[in-house]
Amino acid sequence: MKGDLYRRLRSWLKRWVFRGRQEQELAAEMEFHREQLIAQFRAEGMTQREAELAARREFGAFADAYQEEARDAWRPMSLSAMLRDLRLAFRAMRRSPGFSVLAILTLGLGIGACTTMFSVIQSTVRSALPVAEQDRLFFFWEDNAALGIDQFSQSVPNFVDYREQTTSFESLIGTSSGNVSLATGNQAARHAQAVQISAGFSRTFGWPMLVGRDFLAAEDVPGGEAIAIISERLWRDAFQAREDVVGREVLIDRTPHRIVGVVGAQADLYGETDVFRPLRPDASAGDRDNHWLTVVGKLKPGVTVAQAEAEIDLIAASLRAQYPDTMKGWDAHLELLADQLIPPAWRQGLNLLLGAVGLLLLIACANVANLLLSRSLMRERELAIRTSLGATRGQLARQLLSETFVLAAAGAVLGVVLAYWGLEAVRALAPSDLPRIDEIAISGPSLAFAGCACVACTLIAGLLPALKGSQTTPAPNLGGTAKAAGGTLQRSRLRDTLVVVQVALSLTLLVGSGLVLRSFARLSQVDPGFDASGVLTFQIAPDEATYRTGADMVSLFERLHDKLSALPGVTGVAQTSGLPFGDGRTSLNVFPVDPAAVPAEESVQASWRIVDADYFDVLRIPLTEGRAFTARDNDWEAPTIIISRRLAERFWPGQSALGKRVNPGGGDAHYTVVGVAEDIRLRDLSGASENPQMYFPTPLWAGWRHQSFAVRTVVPPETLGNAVQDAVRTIDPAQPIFGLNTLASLAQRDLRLPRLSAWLLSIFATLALLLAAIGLYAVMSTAVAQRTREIGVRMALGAQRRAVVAMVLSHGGRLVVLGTVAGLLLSMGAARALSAGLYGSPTFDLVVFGVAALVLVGTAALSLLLPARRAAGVDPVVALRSE
Amino acid sequence: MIRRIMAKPLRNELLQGTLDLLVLQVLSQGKYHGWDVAKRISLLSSDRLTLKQGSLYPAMHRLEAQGWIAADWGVSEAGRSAKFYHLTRSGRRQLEAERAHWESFVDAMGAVLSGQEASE
Repeated sequence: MKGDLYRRLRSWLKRWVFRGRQEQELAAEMEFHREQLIAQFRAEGMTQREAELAARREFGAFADAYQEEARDAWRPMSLSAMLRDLRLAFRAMRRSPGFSVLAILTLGLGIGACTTMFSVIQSTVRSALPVAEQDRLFFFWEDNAALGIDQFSQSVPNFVDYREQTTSFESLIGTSSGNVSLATGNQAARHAQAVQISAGFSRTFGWPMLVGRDFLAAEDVPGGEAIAIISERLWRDAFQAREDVVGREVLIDRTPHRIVGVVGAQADLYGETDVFRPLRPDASAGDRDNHWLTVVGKLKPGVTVAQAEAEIDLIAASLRAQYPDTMKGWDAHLELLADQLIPPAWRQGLNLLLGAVGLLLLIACANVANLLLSRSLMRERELAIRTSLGATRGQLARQLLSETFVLAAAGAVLGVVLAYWGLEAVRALAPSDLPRIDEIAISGPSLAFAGCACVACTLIAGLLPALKGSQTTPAPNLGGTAKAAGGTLQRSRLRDTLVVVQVALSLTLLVGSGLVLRSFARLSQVDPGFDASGVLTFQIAPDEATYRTGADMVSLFERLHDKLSALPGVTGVAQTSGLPFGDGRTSLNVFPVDPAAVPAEESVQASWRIVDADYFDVLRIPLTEGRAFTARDNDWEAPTIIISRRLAERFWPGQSALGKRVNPGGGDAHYTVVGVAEDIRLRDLSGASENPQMYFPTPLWAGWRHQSFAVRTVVPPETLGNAVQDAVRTIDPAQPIFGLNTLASLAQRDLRLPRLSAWLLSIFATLALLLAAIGLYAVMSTAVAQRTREIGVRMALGAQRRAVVAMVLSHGGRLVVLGTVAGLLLSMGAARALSAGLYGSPTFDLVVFGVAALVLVGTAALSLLLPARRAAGVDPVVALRSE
Repeated sequence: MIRRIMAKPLRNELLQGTLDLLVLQVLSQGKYHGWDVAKRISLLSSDRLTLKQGSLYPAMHRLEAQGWIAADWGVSEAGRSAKFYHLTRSGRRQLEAERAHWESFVDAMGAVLSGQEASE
């Protein structure tokens, strides 16, 4: 404790007092002395530790004595000089409170906005994922360039083959997550996410086992006892974190599983997971073309990605040679885990916002530089007196810089406070699928960032004014007027330039946010192709132990369908394998079968869904041709399909698709088209990654276990949640449902990032506009104040007030025009850079450019009015007498 | 018998300049670094005067600032670089003056304490 104090004291001494050569020498001398002392104590029989402690005790006494004596013996020059500068700066700050408040607010807003965005990016993109050694962890995807398939899961036999043959990886972990019902001794069954995972996963990912052990390699083979590892969360909730949990049971899908371990909370890599079961891959039973396993590999230390991929390519080639049918065109590649878990759209969006706040910070700095320049004009006398008293230019510059630093530091403190609120707002607005959204916080790095921003602001905003302000010559200013000083004209030119820069940057930010706003507006008006209002949705995944066959499930779903239809306010109930904007991503390559169509090689990747008879009705998706499914669409001898209009037009341009046949997935089954539906947006409102769609009939695919229900109501859908829960419970009390949500909010999910960007950018742009207006106003006011005498003379000589106003306006107007032109040029560059992320906007959206320029010029004109009025109000007599 | 004199009592009890005198005296006998100065003082005083570096180093630097001692960096017996101090010419004069002053002071004290008039 005391030693700690002493260490701190010593480091403080070292940093502040032991400055300069003399101090360094003293430190070396003391160190030498201390070593001798320790050596002596050692010789007297103390242990090394005792000797060090004893020496430290002696030095504790020294530190006290030293402080007293040192003050007389040496003056730590830089420290006291610095403190004096800071004291002076504080005094100067108090002397002009209005100026200080304005500068601190300006910098606080800029630093606050930057710190907010930095914290978001830091917490989501940059901070370490909850895995150890993340630079060695890779997703191991399969791909098939010929079929246009990238980043596909692996098939089990391939996983087993790769794992046996590769030498580049320390381990390959296969994972697959699924929905289960979960119950413990004292808790009712609920829905949970369960992950099947290879043995050794805790070591590979660096997740600690809190209790018990990881799965053993011997357990990770087909057959064997039902065992599970549970999450820390489940352990605390259901088992009160008891150490003796190992050996107890948890019911997964109503089947008892013996618990063998508890894994640390980091294991939520794929969202909240409560139970882990051994993967138990069965290569002999697995289909080589059934790709459902997500594989993560950990490279051996020292193995590069290129080496590993070269080896994978060789193995893939041998697999293709061995299994030409199922492996045709299949290859594999690696993707860094860290890269994959942050979607590129997020990265881009967040970086865009960081760029925008950076711009805002620059504008704020330009503004404060301007304020400082105006003030140094007014302080010319004070500075001149200092110069004649012998202050060097360096000293003056240092003092002016310290003043800026004090302002910037206060701004940084304010900024951090603002950032707290900013983060609240971001947390409230940001989509919940933003990775690690809950972890967004002001962290150490954020504070460090605010500190750097503070220093950067000091330099950017303070350097020019300090250099200019310290350029004072003593004589003329003491006796004469400010006008006589050579620096003034130059300085006002500098200030004019700063205003032009501010106007240009503000316009760029205005245009940029205008473009994003327009894009957001267009996106939010996109018709997804279905009617999302008034629909409540939920998901259900009956477990295999209770509902063994397709018939079991069909009976459950039918009873559920009847119960839900009978609820008051419900007008329709539909069932599907996956909702639009839901989690599932299913697509298959589909080939036209009829020779009349396009050549079979021109297959198309199409998204697919299994839907029931009411699906198109309940979601209000128009059928352009043919019919919806019926209960009779259940014949595997003559399977039926509904395809989307885009797919129909692609295969049979200008013809009716009804009665034509397609071959999804390239297998044996040939489906006859019985209906054509309008294309809808399934995943992506902008449609950029949208495939055409095809629909399989529920009766044909009765074995599909994971189903979503859509309930159309005439009452607000969210009010039906409890009734729906009850309906399920009366049919099977142990069957949990999950994902209860309105369809509208699902469809809105895609809008959250654009909404966040648009909202934040509008705020930034408004702030920028405000700052530019303040900057312009400050420059023009000072200019008028400086030229009061000149204006007075002009008026005395007969100049009209109108001419005086025109003079002020033309000066300000010139700055605005120059800034606007520069800003438009900058904006064109910014628009080009932005265009990739925008929806449906032309790169040079004339409306946005025009409106932004008008808003800017209008605001600028407003900020010119007051100074112009003041100039017009100059009384020539007073103005002349005041000199 | 004073075994160890803490920095503060030493400074308070010794008359002003006594510490300086001790340091000057030690340095009149050769080049020493701070550690050795302290060692020698405690050795010569049979451990009755033990300096703390808290008083020693400021005193040394004060003497250096006065120009009475000078220092250069050298290599210690242990092969480590250390700052060695030595007496300057004006330091030697100062030592003689202070020594005379001290001896006269001790003489006077002794006379008073013994109840006899001093020899001078």
